[in-house]
Amino acid sequence: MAQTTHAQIVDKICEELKSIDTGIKIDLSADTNMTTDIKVDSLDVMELVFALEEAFDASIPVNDLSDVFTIGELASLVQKNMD
Amino acid sequence: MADLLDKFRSLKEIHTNIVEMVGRDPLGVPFEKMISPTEAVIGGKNCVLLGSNNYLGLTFYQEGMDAAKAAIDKSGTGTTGSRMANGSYSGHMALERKLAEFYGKKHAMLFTTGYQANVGFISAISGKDDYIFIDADSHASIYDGCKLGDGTVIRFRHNNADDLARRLKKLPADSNKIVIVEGIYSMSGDRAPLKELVRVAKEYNAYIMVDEAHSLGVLGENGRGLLEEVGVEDDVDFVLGTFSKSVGTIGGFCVSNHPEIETMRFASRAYMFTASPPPSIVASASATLDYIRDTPELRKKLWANTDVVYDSLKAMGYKVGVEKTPVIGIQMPSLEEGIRVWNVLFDNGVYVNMALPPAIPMGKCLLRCSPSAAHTPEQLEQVVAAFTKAQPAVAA
Repeated sequence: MAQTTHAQIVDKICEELKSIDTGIKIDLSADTNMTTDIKVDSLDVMELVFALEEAFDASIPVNDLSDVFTIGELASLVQKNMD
Repeated sequence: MADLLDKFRSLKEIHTNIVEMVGRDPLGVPFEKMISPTEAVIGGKNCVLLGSNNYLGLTFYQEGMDAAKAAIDKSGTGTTGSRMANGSYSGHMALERKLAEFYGKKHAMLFTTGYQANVGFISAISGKDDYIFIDADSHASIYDGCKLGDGTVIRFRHNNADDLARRLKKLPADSNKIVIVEGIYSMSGDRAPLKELVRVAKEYNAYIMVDEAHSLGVLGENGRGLLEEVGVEDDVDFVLGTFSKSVGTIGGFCVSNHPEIETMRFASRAYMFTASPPPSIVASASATLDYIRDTPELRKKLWANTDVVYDSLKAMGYKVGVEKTPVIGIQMPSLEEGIRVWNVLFDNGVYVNMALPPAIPMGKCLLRCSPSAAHTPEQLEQVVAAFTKAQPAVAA
């Protein structure tokens, strides 16, 4: 099976984020800061991470999430924790 | 120089908005006088307390109060330091023996609060090569304990044994792993599916810890919590709990058969660097624990009162949790509706807890009710009548 690319994970994150209504509609990219640009709260982040873990069969340490701000950084973390 | 506390500004704005919307501060209601375990004077009028965690109504248990008063006369008002520095009072050691005996375990260790028991235990056992698996709906004290520890923290979906198994499977078989769950969850009110979770933990060679904060005295024939109710007492490695709910005072504990629990007294910073529980607290907890063990009628009364509140709310169309326990969380469709209902209840002499974001999703509101064995039929009638009056406030 072909390896999942960083871009594919970014796309999946953007797709998931579109379903969260934070009241802010902007174009999402790897550089979008999830907290300051689109005001995603901690419970939304938790649900987002669960969705990504299930989609990519990953298990992401909670400890590492505090260093994640942008969509691109989250994609890298998912990639690092995939089998 | 910027204001150091500027970081609180957004929090202050949220709180100010809530106070404006409610017309009073629902997060800081002044209780002018306690009348009984289930009634207080608030704003000059008597209110039924339906948000107290006082499940067995034992804050006014006469023998508990007498024991506390006698302990003050005998040993003073406090210990003024930790047990490492200031020594262990006879009451501390006697209560630890009693707890160990109550749970049928070899070792017990007291903490000064339930919060500190979780923080102190979890941070101490969490070494840098260890894996800590926590339920997503875990209490803040569990999250905080994880934050203070050095281990890798993995969160699994609430009450989902399959998700836990999927994650455990990824780790080396010989790595140290512990699964941490709660007997009854403090907001949603559901029990952990403990039999399944224990089975999964054992399958992957993981330890398991259960926090029985809301289930001690509430579940099990003898009040030993979810472990007793589902028959897994010999399979759970560590049980943590608090005296601040059904026991009606304050304090926390850990019981276990693991011999190195005793060494934790020199490893758990929340134990080492906090003054130990005062003699009066220890004495009342000890007297009340005996009463809880010996009085199954208390649990029958609690569950009968839970039936009344839960069934009435459900029949009225309130969105209560799927499982009936004495922790009844009512989901409100919106913050505005939650505030309206809370205010109608308050105006009709019923106090419940209001849980707000960020503890729950933005724009939502959860009203948390906790029936007590001490609620009288008249008080429950008042509760049901108040919720009936509040009904139009939902989707008004």
